[in-house]
Amino acid sequence: MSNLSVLTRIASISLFIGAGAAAQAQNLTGQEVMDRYFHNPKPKTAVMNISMVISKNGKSLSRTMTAWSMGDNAKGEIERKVIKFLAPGDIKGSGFLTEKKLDGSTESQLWLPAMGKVRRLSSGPSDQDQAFFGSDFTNRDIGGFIKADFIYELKSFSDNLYTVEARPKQAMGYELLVYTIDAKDFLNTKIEYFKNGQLARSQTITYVSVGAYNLPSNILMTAASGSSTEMKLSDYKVDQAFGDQIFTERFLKQ
Amino acid sequence: MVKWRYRVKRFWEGLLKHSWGVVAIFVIVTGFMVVGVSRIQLDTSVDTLNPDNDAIVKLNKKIQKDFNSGRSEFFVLHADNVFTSSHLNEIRAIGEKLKAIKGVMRVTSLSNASMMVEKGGVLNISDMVPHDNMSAAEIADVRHYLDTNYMMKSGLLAARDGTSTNIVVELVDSVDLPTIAGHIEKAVADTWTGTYDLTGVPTIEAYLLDTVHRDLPLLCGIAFLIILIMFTVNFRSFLGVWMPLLQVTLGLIWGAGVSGWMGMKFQPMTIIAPIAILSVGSSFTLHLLGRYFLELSRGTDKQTAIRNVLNHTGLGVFVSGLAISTAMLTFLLSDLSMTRGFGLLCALGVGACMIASLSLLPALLNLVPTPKVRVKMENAGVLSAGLKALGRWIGRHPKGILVTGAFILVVGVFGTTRIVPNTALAAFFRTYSPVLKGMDAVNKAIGGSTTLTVLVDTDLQDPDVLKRLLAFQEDIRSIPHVGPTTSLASLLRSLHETLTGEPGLPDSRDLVAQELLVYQSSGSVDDITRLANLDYSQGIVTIIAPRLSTHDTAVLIARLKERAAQIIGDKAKLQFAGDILTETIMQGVLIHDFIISITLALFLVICIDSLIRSIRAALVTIIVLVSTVVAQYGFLGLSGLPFNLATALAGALAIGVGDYAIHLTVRYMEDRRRGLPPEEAIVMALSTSGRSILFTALTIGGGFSALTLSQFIPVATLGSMMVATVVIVGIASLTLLPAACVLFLRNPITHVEVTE
Repeated sequence: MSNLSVLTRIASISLFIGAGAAAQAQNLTGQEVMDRYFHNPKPKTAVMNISMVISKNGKSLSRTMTAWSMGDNAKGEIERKVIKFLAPGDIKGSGFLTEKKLDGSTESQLWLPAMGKVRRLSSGPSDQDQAFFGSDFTNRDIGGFIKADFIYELKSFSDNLYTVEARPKQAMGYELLVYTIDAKDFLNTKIEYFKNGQLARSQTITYVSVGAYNLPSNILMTAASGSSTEMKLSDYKVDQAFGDQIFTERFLKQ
Repeated sequence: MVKWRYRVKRFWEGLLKHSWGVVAIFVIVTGFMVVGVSRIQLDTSVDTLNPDNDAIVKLNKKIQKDFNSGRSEFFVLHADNVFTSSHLNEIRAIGEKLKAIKGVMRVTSLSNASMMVEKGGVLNISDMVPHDNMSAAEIADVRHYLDTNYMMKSGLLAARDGTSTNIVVELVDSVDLPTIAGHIEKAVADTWTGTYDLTGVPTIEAYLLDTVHRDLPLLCGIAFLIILIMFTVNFRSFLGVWMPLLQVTLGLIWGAGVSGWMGMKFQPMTIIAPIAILSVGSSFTLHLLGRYFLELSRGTDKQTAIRNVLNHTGLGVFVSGLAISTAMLTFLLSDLSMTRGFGLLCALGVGACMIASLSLLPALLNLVPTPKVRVKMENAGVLSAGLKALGRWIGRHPKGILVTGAFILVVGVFGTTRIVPNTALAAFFRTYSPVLKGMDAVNKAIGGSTTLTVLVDTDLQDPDVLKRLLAFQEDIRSIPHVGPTTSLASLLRSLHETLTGEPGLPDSRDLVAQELLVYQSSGSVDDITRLANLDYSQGIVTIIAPRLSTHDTAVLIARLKERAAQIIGDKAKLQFAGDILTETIMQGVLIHDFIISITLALFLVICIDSLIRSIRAALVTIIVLVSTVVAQYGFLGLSGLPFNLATALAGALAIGVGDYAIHLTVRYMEDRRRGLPPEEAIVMALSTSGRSILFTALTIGGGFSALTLSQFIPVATLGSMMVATVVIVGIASLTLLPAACVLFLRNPITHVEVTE
């Protein structure tokens, strides 16, 4: 079982898949394509700046934040994340510290400087399909899909791109995901989310090379309801040994 | 003029020469029109009741788009105690079933509402009923939260005594609401073991559709039967029954067929049109056949009788048909698609009836055997004697009759001042209808069955603005008919208390922004933009309210605006919107349409009559029409019937049905030209045309009386009003018009020579 998230996927794409793999790629099954996609190694830790712009009806909401992450549920580890907001000014310094346990439940600490105290928050596994900070992303998009939760079927291969359909084994926010995977490096460039037989959202991803990894630099999620969220990720630092002190109340309040 | 008359006569001769050809053409065209009829679609959307270009309608659409709201269906589920594990399981199951229905945008119920509860210093954020088989302790937590949370304790989700819970289903714009209403109700009915009530636009549209399906064949059938009885009594001949019915049936098929080919949709108020076509269209054949039987009773042979019918009565029918169709076409200037559709269908149908009466009818009369004449059409019987006596009396007292008419007119004008408009959707339905029963039940449980929305333009992160908004919301709860309210201010009030344990609102701009960040942490874009836009420069206050009469709604909105001005002042620009607000502006639109259509219809009738006869003759005829319109709306005001979508049509319809007065002036003018003095000419005109006028009135009135059985109150009211109208037109045509002829039309001049 492997888990790939926006934050941890950032460090998940290796270059070990060479050009030779692409030559025989069209013979793979959907399951094999997704095996290669999910088995891209990921860094143990990651730090990045995120600029998120949510848009709807000609209005937009911008957030700039720094995120730290470590751990992987798929490896039996608790996933920890800290998000600290840098802009706009009225929320600067606010922060969330989140621990996602192996049972899927989440505990968070919330630091609101204007309130001057840390609040502890707890939520259940069902929150995975809730939106991530009012954006078009869900917590599951951010936290990552689990490979074993889906049944995969290769639908087509053309122009060196695989189209793989993923159907969840148990009910979740969508009934079908359609991946577009580049046969050259097994990076996904697009995911379409279907609900009630209709396209509900569509995600496109572009990448940047950071050391040994190809990492997302821009993710655009467009919802059928007319909103969109663009995440620009930059200033990556991967595999830094920053230990547990990052994921503390003290760090949150700094 | 002579050339024109020659061409008309050649056309009549052609009809007689090629009668089978005429029948064949009608068969082919009717076949084509039947296909057109099959293309007609029903549209019972309540949007068709809204004016096209109104600012409130546009604002409603903007709010719907910007704040992600949709048409709503409200359910109230009843049980002895909804807070049991099994009932909560059912509510969860209903929620899942509803969400799976295509077109459902959002479901709000106990099962998926968010709950933030503090336990052991940790804030637990979860759905209110996150799983099946809730324990007694968990259920107690839910009840406590509903009782104490600022936003929940208004009873929006459940009654405090636990006897009911509410589900609100919002739908996307593109779905067929009547269809989805059935799916939604099935999901609830199949799962909920208690009783339930429901209301909302989908249910209302589904009911409108069912009622159109029921009313259309029923009312048309009754009107058909009444008209059939009138023709039987009038002519006492098989031919005198089937032939008029054939003409009006063809008129109906042609009118509907052209509408179908034009892509017109049949809407709830369009139900009036077929009845109007049947009633008005039958009057043409009545006049033509009346003349035909008259000629036969004089011993004229069949072909000569047909020629005389066409030459003497044909032009009157043509003028009348043209005037009525034109009067109906004035509805095309309306801002309401429903009124435009009604006007077009009526104009096409009446026009088709006129064409059929002037072409197919003579062709058929030529082809079928000569009927036996059982009724003397003139100068015989009690009716004729009575009409002659009336004519002599009018000849002696024309001024007295006109003065009496003027007095009645004054009473009518007074009556018009007492008209109470009511264009509310709720006023469409009878008290025993499921729609009103559902509305009443939901009103009692939630405090309303629709929403008023206040669009707020301001800086919504300003703590002072938020405090004023909240104060406004709390203040208006004391106003009757105001239900629970929600806004960004009430959301923040609830959130602030949960996060800090202190009642009130955040008191700094930064704290407002940071508490909103908490709200955003678990809400989607659409959740957030339900109350405010993304940059917090615009938001909405949603007020649950019942569907009232438009007068009561206008009073309610005036009070809300007054309170808003006092409490919020110039801190924000406020715009009120909502379905019930649209209903209040409807009366202005209807009055505007009414004045335009009446004025234009009268003007066009004068023009058409003047072109074919004389201006003076036209003006005298118009006296009847104007008197009728004043008297009918006086009747409306004095009887307490409301001015609504349907009764607004009555004025122009009256001009249509009242135009048969033309036949009396035509006959009077003819007798004057023959040298009879005015007083004798009016006696002759009444004794010959009076019978036709009486039977026309009875036929049209009988046809319209079928509308009184409609399930739609406006349609039924129009039926009553049209029966009264036909009576008024009949009386005015037999009294005021002859008196006006004797006084004002002593030396008539006419462009063409026609006789009745």
